[in-house]
Amino acid sequence: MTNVVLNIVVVGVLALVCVPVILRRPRGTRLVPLLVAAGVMCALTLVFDTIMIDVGLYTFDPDKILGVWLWGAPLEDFFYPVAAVLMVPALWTWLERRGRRTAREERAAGRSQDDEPDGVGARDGYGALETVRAVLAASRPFSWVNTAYPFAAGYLVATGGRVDAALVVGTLYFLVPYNVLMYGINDVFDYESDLRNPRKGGIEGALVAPERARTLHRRILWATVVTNVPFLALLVAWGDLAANLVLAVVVFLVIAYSAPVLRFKERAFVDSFTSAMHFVGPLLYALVLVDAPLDARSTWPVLVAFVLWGAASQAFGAVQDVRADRAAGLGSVATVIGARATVLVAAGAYVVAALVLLVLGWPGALAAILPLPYAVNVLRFRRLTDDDAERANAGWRAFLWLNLVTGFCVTMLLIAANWP
Amino acid sequence: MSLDLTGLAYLTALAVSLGGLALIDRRLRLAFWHAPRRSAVVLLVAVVVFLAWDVAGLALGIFARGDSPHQTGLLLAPELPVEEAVFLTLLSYTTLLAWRGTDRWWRRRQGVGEDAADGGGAGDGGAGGGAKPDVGGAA
Repeated sequence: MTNVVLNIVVVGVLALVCVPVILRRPRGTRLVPLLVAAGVMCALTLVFDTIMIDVGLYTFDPDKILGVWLWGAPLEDFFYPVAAVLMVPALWTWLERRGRRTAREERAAGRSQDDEPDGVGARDGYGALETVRAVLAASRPFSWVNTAYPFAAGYLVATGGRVDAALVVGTLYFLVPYNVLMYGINDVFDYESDLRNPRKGGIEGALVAPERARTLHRRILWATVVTNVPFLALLVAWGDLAANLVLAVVVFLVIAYSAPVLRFKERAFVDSFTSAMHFVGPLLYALVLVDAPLDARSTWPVLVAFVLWGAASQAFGAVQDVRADRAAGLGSVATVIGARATVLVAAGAYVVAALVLLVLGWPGALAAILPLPYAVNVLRFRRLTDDDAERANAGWRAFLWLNLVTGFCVTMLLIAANWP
Repeated sequence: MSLDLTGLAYLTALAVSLGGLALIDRRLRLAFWHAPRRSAVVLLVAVVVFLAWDVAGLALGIFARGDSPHQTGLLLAPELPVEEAVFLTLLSYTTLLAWRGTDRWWRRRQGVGEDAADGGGAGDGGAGGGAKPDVGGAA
């Protein structure tokens, strides 16, 4: 990636975040101060970057810059003052409004003489910390490891333990921003149906108080863009065409799952497959990123079994929501074929996953044991009817804990199978 | 016995510049002498973002530390000298003062009240909107 591409990405993201904040300033005082400051800063950059480069404080790789020089400074250097002029006033404005809001809350009852030019910032009543907390809660920290682990494990195993920037950035991406994307937009677009579902809360997802929902949803969507774009830009810069295509499909499936119109989660069977890909996707991406052969006997059974496991788990997870989903007019495997049939299909898929894993050579084939506790767990509900489908929630909770135990076992197996 | 101070040249230049900015700030009560905590947070966040940008540029091999003798040689990370953090502070602080100064001058010209609730004493608090009722309300 060349300097200008990096700089456009950075300034683009900053503009996306900062411009809305700056626009909250009183009309008529937004543009001129900003332009004057930008002019001053660019002039200073012209002079001082020329000096700094001339005395050898830093150097550029000539292949990575455009080669357009303004006096002694490359054109790319002028993105820095532009970024500063976006970021500094936006931060100041944002903190100023927060301070004002706090002061107002402290005064509590009326009698305010605030000079509130347009009142936008005061209306929402959401502090920065609260927003961060709400976004993190929406991203289900309990499940972060479920997406970061497949990427990191796949990458490490396929490269024989190579620790490099792509591993770190990819793992961090699939740890937090990917989950903010997945669960954040899910919560935003599911809000209506979640309202009718008392189960949403705690480790399974946090529900926001209705009166604040709109403000928070707007911020969750912003947080999604801001956290995802920089990571994706770096990963795209590192990957080849195949890796980038896989990444595009993985991100698309995450968005398509709950975004309006597409709503894959409401389409029976597509919902289960898409959900499985949310977890298999990071692994598949890691393998393609490092050019690992997908048809190897040590690889494809893992991918197939993982998809089956994910689809079965999603289908079973939907069982407890059968009535809520039907009432809200949402579709799922369970609303189409019924609670009991879904439980049986899920159990079957776990068993098939176990059989596929037997193809792995020793000691990998030991992994065939792992899906079986899941099958046992769901078969406890084999006599479930649609009317008492909520009972399956106990199985879902067991499933969440089973994941931690299984993750431990998978780790031990991976170490055993790959120890030199 | 001779003490070579060449390595401190850049850092000293940055410190002198920051000192000059502080004098302007104090005289006009623009940033740290207006809202100290807010100013500190603004600079801190801006510098962290800039450092992350630098790290990305270094990781991509776009630029590198030069061989100038004017730096201490102390590094925050490979290829990232401590001077860079101070320089980015200078860049952000200059921007803050340039914008704050212009903003205040322009608001006065336009007759828009200054940041009233800060309590900072620019003395033209009610010039614009006056005492509007509190629309949003703390509820």
